Amino acid sequence: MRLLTLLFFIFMSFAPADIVIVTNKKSDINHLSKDAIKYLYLAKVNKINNIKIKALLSENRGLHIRFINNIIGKDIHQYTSYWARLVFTGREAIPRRLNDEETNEALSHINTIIYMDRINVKKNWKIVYEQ
Amino acid sequence: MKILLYLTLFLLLNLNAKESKLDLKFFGTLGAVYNDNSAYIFRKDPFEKNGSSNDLDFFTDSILGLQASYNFTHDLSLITQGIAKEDYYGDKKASIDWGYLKYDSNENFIIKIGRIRAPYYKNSNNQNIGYSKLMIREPIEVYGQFPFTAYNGIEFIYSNILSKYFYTLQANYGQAKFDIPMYSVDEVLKNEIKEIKGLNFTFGNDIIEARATYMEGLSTSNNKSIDKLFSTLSLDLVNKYALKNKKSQYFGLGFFVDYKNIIFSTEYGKRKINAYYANLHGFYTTLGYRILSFTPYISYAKIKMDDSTSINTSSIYLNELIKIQNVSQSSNTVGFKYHINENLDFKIEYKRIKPEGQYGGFYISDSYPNSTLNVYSFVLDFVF
Repeated sequence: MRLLTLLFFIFMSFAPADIVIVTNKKSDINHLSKDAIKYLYLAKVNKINNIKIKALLSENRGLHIRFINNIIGKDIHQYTSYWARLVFTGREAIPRRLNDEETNEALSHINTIIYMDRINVKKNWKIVYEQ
Repeated sequence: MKILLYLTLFLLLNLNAKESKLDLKFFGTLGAVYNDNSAYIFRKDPFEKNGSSNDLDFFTDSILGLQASYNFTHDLSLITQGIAKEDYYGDKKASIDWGYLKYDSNENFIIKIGRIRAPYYKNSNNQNIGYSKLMIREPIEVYGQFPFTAYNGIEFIYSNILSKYFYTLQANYGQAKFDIPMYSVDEVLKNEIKEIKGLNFTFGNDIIEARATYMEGLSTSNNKSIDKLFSTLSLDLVNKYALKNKKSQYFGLGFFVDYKNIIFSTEYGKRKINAYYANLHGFYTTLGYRILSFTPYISYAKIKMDDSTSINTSSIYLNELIKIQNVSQSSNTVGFKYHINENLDFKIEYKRIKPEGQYGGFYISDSYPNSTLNVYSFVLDFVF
């Protein structure tokens, strides 16, 4: 039994955590659909339900790839080719990837969203999408 | 064009400006192409002089580019793209491909003013960015129907979500001037298209996308030899074939799927100009399958003339001018893209091209024997 418990904890420590989309608690956004998140991160739109939303990227490469695979539903190569098309046609500037400190600063502004592991969500943020 | 050069200089001189205001990006393709048929010169652009004719050519697909953008405010920016490649005459030259002032309202609409790429096709804007595309070059059977890629004017883009789908409406207005070399007589065809009006509608979700495009303008071509020829013809023939202030139209449709490992794209284009520059239509269908970093693909493309290019008027010169407008051909392509990393990819492609009819095909030839071209291409694409 002890062995099983140990194996369970070892497995859990390696299993990827749930990804959630968060924003500042004071933001006008309370919930975003998966489609809305896809369209924001694919730069199809920048306004949902009349709210201007700024979608940010994380510097954490592992998290970024999991987000692109699981939420956006694309392969990372597909996603980078897609963004190359947007950037090099002058359509959209690729958002800079943010570290933890920059994420904290960015989320102090309302109607700004970013993806992160659920365990990293802070008290002054709210979850607007979870898997 | 001079204004764009000054704007580019302004951007480059502002390299010391705040990092957040100026953004420089580089892109390019290093390529080699071999066409085994010495009767034809295979080129990427139908108006280029040089290409591969039973030899290895390193300049057909090779290009270096720089994109500079400067943000005046959060909403207003200046974006320009310069490229260096072999030009129509075989000289290696740098030029400004496009450049415009962009106002992004951040409320789903964008306005551009300046030199803008004409949005005929899905990949109109990124034809020079090999990294962003699946194939080495877009099928000429659709992408080669109009001889100009950019116009001077304005573009309005509006995007939004409708239920679970997104849509984008793009409207364009402007004019274009461009020269086409006529190598056989060592002359230039000077072209002007006024009152270009375009409308493009794209609809879909993250898997399926459909687009419809309509563009029109008033086209005029001037050339010493052709103008001299038309001065000797009857009024009926002049009205029918002369390209002076004639309404030119383009209608395009596209359908694209990007689902799990499958990539599918098809586009149809129809050009209508009632002049010696004949009416035609073409399409392509491409299917790719993603296997980790590899994406093998196959493609079929065809272009047909809507008007007969074999006419029998009293003028043998007019008959000849119409004959050489025939670009009918079909092509089969097989290749793969290997995604090296977020900045690099590598592609290998084999293309079999079959010119059809008298003087058929896009490629220069002395004899036009209608024999098949086998074209082998290799490229390395990069973005930084």
